Amino acid sequence: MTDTLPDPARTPGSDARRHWLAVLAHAPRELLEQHAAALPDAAFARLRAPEIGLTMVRARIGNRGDRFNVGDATVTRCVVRHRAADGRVAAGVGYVLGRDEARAEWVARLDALLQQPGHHDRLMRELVAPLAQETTRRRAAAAARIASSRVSFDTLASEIAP
Amino acid sequence: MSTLLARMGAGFADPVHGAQQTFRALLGAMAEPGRVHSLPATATAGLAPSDPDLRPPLDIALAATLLTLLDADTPVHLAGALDTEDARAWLRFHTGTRALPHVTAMTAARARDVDAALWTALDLGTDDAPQASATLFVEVECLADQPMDRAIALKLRGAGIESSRDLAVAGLSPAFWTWRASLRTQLPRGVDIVLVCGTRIAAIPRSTHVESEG
Repeated sequence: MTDTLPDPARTPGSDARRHWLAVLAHAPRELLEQHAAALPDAAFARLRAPEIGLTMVRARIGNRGDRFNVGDATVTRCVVRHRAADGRVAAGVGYVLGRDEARAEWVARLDALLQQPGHHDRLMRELVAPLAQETTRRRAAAAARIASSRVSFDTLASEIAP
Repeated sequence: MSTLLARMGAGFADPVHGAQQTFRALLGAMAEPGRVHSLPATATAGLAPSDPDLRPPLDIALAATLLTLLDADTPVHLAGALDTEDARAWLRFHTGTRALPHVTAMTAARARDVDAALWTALDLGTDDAPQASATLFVEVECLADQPMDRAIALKLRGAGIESSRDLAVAGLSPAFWTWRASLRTQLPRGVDIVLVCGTRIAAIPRSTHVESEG
């Protein structure tokens, strides 16, 4: 069994994985569905079926001071294992905000495929890169829309000592 | 992390109902000491997958029992041969539990690893807090309600049994049953024992009087 595991030195680094997981977690549902819903079920096994839970969201005002609890957010998570045609095995995890079980499983499946050398380059090119661009574009558009009503309090000193 | 996850075994196919049905079977086993209960196939679905790589590192009944009873606040001790990296990782992944290196309130072992060093380390609780005692899960080689070859025949009496009940257990030494009989004077302190074998479970709570017939 051990000989079919991906060589850690050849699997993409954890920074790269963090990047594509973030991109997939924020991806619009219909784009994920387009790429993941048609994947063959036989190659995947569920290690942890999609399950819904809560996570505490914590934040700091103005990025300073102590963290406080903003509130609970629903999170759906899933872990699947993919066995490639060459016998390589990779486990993919999916965590998404909300209660959409299918979406968490799609993210997990795509994460597993992205760790497989045979699928990595194609998926990065066809899925992750366009999704990252799309997310950046949507965020920039939202930021621009909000910026038009921005009020600047430059002359006021901060109430919290630096 | 990812490499370990890639060879992780499966858990319950349906975690909520699997754990509920296993818990119901454990309740029944505790209420009727010595009666051999079979875990329903719907409860253990997923624990015997056709893909050998997905097979859990523990036998079905022990796997189902531990998945049901453990969580992040309930550590476990895996004794002897059960204590493998795969078993620890599997329990941690599916339940959030931690495996401790020393005997604790939840202790699991294969019958041949149950020796005096293990059972003398079990916590019997106190007279004020008998519920603080240990529960011992033993994977035995054979578990039946009628006499079997190589099995020690036990006669059980006490709460939950109308007159007496026969139980045949293979794998545990006569010294273990002598020790179990010696706990009788300690009540309400004591140890609850859950025996598992394949997909079958039977319980011997502390209130049960056990006679071994050799």
